[in-house]
Amino acid sequence: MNRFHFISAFVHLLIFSVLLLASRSVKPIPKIEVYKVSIAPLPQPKILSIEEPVPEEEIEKEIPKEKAPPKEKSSPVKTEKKKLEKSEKIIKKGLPDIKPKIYTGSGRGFTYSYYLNILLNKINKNWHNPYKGKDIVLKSTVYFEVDKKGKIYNVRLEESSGDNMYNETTIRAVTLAKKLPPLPKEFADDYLKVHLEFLTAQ
Amino acid sequence: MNIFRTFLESSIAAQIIMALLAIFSIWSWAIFLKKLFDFSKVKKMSKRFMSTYRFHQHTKELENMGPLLNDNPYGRILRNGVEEFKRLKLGKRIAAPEQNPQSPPGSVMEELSDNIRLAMERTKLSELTELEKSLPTLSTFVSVSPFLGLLGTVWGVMQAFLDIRLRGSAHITIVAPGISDALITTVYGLLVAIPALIFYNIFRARVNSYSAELDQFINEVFARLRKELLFRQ
Repeated sequence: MNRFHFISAFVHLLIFSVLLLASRSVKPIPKIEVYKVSIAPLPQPKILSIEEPVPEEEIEKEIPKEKAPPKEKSSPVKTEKKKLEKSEKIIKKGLPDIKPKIYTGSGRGFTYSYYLNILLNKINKNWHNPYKGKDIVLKSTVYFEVDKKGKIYNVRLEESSGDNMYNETTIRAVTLAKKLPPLPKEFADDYLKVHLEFLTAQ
Repeated sequence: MNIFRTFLESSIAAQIIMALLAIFSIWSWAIFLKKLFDFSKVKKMSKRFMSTYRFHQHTKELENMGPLLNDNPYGRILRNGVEEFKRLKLGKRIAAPEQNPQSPPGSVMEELSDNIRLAMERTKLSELTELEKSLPTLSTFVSVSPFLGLLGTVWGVMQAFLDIRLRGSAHITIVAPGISDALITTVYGLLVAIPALIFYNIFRARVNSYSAELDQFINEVFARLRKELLFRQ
């Protein structure tokens, strides 16, 4: 090490600090605020009933998948009918086209409806259905886990709809949610398993 | 683009590579500054020497140039040449023609006069070695830095693909951050290699031209000393 090394190190530090200052002085691009105004109530989307006859061949192929019970490899899982009913009600109200099937880490039920509403609202906000308003019925199931702090992780596609773009949007919707409120304190398990069905609506 | 945030958010492998590249960069710039200083010093001293050297017509005068014979390559070459010349002239080794009367007079002297050239060539080589010092290090940085950057990029891309596999999605929001982080190391590698290559070429050209100038000077001094040795015995 001689004096030239010190001079060189000093010059490098100087350049780095100038770059740092320059990057700080650049103003971030302002986000455009979007205001949603609804002049008239929009027609509520109808969910395609499973029993309804569907004329198109492709749609017929998809329907049996919906009928199939959810696959759970790890533990015997309890499905809570009440939860499903509640979620179906939400769908009928026109909120999300999402059907949650929620299990706890130990396989016990999850009885906190307020938390489910927050979860569904947040994911629904991030979901942009590419086939909205079109005569295509698709269903994909996304699996993810929520830890005690409300962090979403281990997001994966559990059941493909057969349409890659549609699958991507569903995974993106869950991934973008990133963080939820912490799980209820009374909830004893370490994490929550969620199987979320995304359905297109007519 | 905040370079520090990019550094902190990168993987450990990328951070190690970027730290190595930073060291290479500091080192190569240090070599550049040192060589710049050395070459300007040599140039200045040599100029001063040459301006004095032109005014000395006799060999005895050359010996009295004092510190000018020690502080620059030209002076050191001349000093060694003159010392060899003195050894040949005064060392009684020029008695060879008397021992072998068949050989023509002055032929042994002519052969021995090559010693003067050899002494000066030897000095020139040691001077050039001194000037070329650290250039191989610079050359190493030139070749290694882009590869090191590329290694970081390949590593980052590998991680991005691993993320795709783990998350089961190839969406742009998942892939893009990994790729962006990965490409940064290549940018840094090139930022180190490009200046180092420029420095290397500059100094290599200077050493070559200096070598040619020293050769010319050696020929000039040799011709002068040889003439004196052969005709002023």
